Amino acid sequence: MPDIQISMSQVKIANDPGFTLVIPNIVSGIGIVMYDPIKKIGGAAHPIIPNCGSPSDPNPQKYVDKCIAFLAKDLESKGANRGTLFVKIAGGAKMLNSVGIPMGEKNLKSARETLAREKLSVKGLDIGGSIKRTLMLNISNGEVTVERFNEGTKKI
Amino acid sequence: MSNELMDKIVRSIDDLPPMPSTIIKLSELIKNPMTSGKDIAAVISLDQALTTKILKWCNSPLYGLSKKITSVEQAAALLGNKAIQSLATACCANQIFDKELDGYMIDKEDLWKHSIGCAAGSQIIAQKKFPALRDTAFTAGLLHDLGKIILNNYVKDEFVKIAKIVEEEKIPFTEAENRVLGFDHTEIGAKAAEKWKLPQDLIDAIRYHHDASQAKENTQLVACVHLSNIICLMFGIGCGCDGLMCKVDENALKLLGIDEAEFEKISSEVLDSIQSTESLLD
Repeated sequence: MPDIQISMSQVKIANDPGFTLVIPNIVSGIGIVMYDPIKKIGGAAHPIIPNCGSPSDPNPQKYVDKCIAFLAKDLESKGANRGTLFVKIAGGAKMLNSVGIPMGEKNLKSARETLAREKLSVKGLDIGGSIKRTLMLNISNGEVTVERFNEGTKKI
Repeated sequence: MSNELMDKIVRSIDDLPPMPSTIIKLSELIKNPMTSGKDIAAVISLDQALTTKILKWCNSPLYGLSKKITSVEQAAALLGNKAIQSLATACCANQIFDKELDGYMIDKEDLWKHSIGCAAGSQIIAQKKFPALRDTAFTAGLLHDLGKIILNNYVKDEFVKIAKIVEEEKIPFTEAENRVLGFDHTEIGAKAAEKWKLPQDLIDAIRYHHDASQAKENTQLVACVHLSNIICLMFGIGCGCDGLMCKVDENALKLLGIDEAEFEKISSEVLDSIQSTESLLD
């Protein structure tokens, strides 16, 4: 099955059941997938900075808060129903010692706060630790899997 | 075993592609304060492929120049001789860094992306904190993981042991490298840099990029490269089995005077810079 790759600060939507959205190399950033199981449309994003400090930033999708709001809105505009959307996230990893710069933890905090504000509930997650992940969303059935670097794959 | 292995590995540095003669000539020229942009351009112009690459980089968003650069001499006048030397090193380093590191589980191209990312990040951090180090920081960031390439070729079997120790004991990868081999990739990288007769500031940045507090000299440059390396790893760029198994050096953060808020701002700028250099990765 062909993959659609999502890089850092990218947002992509798919409604073709033949595709899988794949977010590789998730470390302290957050891999986010949203899926409407009725309309069978899904989206994925990979923001890596917690909060947008400047409204004029030319690349707002790199921020967790802006990116989540954008992804939900983009899905709605393409036919998804916010009421039936589910959200799954992975990432927020940290260094062995992230003293002074807890980017992973702050990204997770921003994700939780933004999702609550957007009234979106998280149905599955694989977060924290010191590990790189890949997050995948199968558009045909909404199945979400996480590949933990060097540890194998699991459904969330 | 460690001394014998280390000697064998250091001897193997001769098997790496040599630093091109153009880079060695530029390093010599740059030491002379009387060297002009014309002198620099004259050396580079002997290598047509290098000239083309340098002009491509100079006209990239990395330098944000409003005017199109059409000659190396013009580039040297606008950016400075040291910036051109850094760019020339980057263009030539591609052939050394563009390879898969199976021991570290780093895919082909990822090490090069990590090296370019660390170079761009080091340059941004230096520009903000120690502007005089801007161009050297770019080169230091580019070369910091030189030791991984060398180690990867010679200690393949030992990587299994190293990875197992890291996983079980949750210790830094360099500490596990030291326990199994008696040395780590930073030490091997520094030895290679010495053998290539690179300047001492670059050797220090390579040797101490994981342990900035240990540097006695060139501490500002080392801190820039240390932090940039951390940012790239947090972004997942060139993050193999060793990726997150390292520590942030608090003293480096103090030396740079960077708090959480500024770290996020710098990380954001580093990401923009890395994404703007993606077209330069071929």
